[in-house]
Amino acid sequence: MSNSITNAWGWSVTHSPLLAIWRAARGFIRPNREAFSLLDRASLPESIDEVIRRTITRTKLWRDEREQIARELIAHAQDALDAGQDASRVGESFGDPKKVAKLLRRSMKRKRPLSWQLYRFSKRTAGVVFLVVLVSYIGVVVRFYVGSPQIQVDYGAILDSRNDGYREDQKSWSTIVECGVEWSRIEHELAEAQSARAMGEFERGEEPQDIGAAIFPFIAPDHRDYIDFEHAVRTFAPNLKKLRGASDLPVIGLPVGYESVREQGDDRSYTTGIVPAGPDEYQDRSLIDIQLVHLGSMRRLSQVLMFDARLAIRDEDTELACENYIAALGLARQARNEPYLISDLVGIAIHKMVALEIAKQLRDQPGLFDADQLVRFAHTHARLTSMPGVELEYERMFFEDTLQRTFSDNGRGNGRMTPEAFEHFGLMSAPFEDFGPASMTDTALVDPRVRAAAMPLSIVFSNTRAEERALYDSVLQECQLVLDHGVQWISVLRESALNAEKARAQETPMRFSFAALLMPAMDRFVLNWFEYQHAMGSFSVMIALEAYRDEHGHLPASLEELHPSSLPEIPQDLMDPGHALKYRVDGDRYVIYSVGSDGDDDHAPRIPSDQYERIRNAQRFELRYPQARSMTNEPIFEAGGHPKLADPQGPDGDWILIDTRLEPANKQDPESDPT
Amino acid sequence: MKLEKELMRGAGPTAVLKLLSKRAMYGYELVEALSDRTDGVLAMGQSTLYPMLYNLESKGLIEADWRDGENGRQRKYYALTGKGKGKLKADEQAWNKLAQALGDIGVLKGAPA
Repeated sequence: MSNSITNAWGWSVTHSPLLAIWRAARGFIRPNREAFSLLDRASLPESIDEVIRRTITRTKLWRDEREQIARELIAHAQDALDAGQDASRVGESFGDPKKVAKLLRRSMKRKRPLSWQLYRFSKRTAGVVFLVVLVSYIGVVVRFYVGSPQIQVDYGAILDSRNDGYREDQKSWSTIVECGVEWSRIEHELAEAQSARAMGEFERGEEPQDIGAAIFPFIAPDHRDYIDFEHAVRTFAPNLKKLRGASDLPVIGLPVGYESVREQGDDRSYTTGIVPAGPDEYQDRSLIDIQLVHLGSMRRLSQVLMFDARLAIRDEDTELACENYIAALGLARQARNEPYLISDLVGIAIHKMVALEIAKQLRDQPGLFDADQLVRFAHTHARLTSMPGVELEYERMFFEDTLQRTFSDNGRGNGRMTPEAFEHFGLMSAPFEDFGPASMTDTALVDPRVRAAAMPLSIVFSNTRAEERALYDSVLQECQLVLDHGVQWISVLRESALNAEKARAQETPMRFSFAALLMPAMDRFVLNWFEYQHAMGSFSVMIALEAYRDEHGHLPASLEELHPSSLPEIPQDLMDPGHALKYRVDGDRYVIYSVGSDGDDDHAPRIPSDQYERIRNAQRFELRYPQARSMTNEPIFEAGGHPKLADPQGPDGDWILIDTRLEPANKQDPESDPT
Repeated sequence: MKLEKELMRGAGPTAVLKLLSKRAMYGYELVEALSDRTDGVLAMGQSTLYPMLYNLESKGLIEADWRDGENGRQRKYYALTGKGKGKLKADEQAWNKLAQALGDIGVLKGAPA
């Protein structure tokens, strides 16, 4: 029993990994020490001694292993000599030390402990894996660098061809650019002066206030910088006159490939000109790199027109105010005519801003505009609302242009990512952390050599050209589906493949997706689109109501009384398909509303603020929308694929679109607004 | 006459196991026995024998220990283990079958063609 315990203990010690490490480590320090000491003591003839020493040395085994072999070979030689064999013959019988050492090494290693055998197996396996990875990587690198994109379609020319049928005097872009640059200069000078004034106030310990330039055009008449803007806008009047003329032209017509020239002031930059971009500046004018330099100017100039309209109303020149509003609506129409999604968004924003402003003025001063002016508003507004929906196929052109500049082309519509893709990624200003690993593009964090070495791996992890296109198309189709069928389908986009792709891009190092990068936030756009439709529908009703009141001296009891003379079509409640927007009248006040998310007509109560996730223009006018319920990520479809028309669990209450029951905004403290 | 390398690779270990099945032997003794008792056919030098012994040892077929010899020096004696006996038995059967087969086709002298 004790013997078996001793044996087991002995086996454990002999096969201990620690002992193996110790034995291996000793081999590095005088490895032949014990073996040669034995040979010294054995005093063998020189010919035998020399052969054994050379054999032992060449085995490159551990120290104790060399000792064992030396001991055995010495015993063998001594036996041979005792048997009367000749020393030289004995020495020769040991064979070639190099070959013998190799055989001995191989056989002795087989006797080594299991831990060592496992170590050797792991080392060899790692070596094989490394070799396979290296060969694969070389293959990937070759594949990555031999691919090059081929530009086959000039999408810029296709976009420009939209304006081929128009003469230069039918295009508004030169006026917009001229006025935009001039207003940018004026606003910059005002901002610099106002900043200096605010700094002085701060240094004197006075209550800090926003500078006027930061809150224009919604600057209150009692604001200390208001007078600056009043003076500036009145001085700007000749430009506004030109702008009113240009706003009636059919198109903007700015060719693709212009860029803004900016100048740096003390603490902000401003636009000083619009010039054609050089051919080398923007990747040979890749569509994703073009600047839509006019859009910012159009939005700002619309605000200037709106501010000037307020001045005109104060001066009791409602005709000038009317012309300004109609001019701003003209700019909105021109923007909507542009083929870019962002242009649509700018056009929508201008349209909503002007409509809200007119509605606010009508709420505060019923009868401000005469019947003729109301009809002009109605016609200009109708021209915008009757425009076709968003042209998503042009948005697709931007994507296709990017693909042809970043992916190889196998002639069958497919290809793989090329080094040019990384140049494009580097040029884009979008936040990369949303779409791919920031480490690949953040030069501050990653050594450029590491980045260059890792780049080719992207073709392993990233989509092919066909996969990118399929992903992009699927989202556009989903978007079209929602636009065609109603806001209730919004969750289709919220749960789209694009979001899954974005998640994958974030989780997988070196995975890039141009579809995820270039695809606008379509769910937000679609929601915005439906909110716009609702808002503009309610504005149509309001104009018709005011025209009715102007004609009859009182408000109608129902919207049907407006139809068809004042209102050719009663706008639909998009949350209650097949039914009109709701209307309630109370004396000379009224409210226009939608049934809202829950689908119930609650007769337009004020909705508690905690039920709204999203409030539009809360401090300016009553046009508010809660976010669609699909934000909860719960499906909003019933079995059979039909969307629920409303969600009983949704926020209770109605969506108030226009409410003249409230006190005028300028009599109300915005901070105390319960909504 | 010496066997070809491939034949020796197959026959050598069996021959060593067989010699050790009678009694424990040390290296030089095995070299001499293989040479003398096979008329030099299975003779092998130290360069072949010792790696072979280490391989058999690593497989657990033989075991070794140092003992004092009759001349007073220490020698490493090799002896067959239980596992080695089983292996020898299996090898003997295999070689007999091989010999029978070679005899059957007339390769071995005296066997019918």
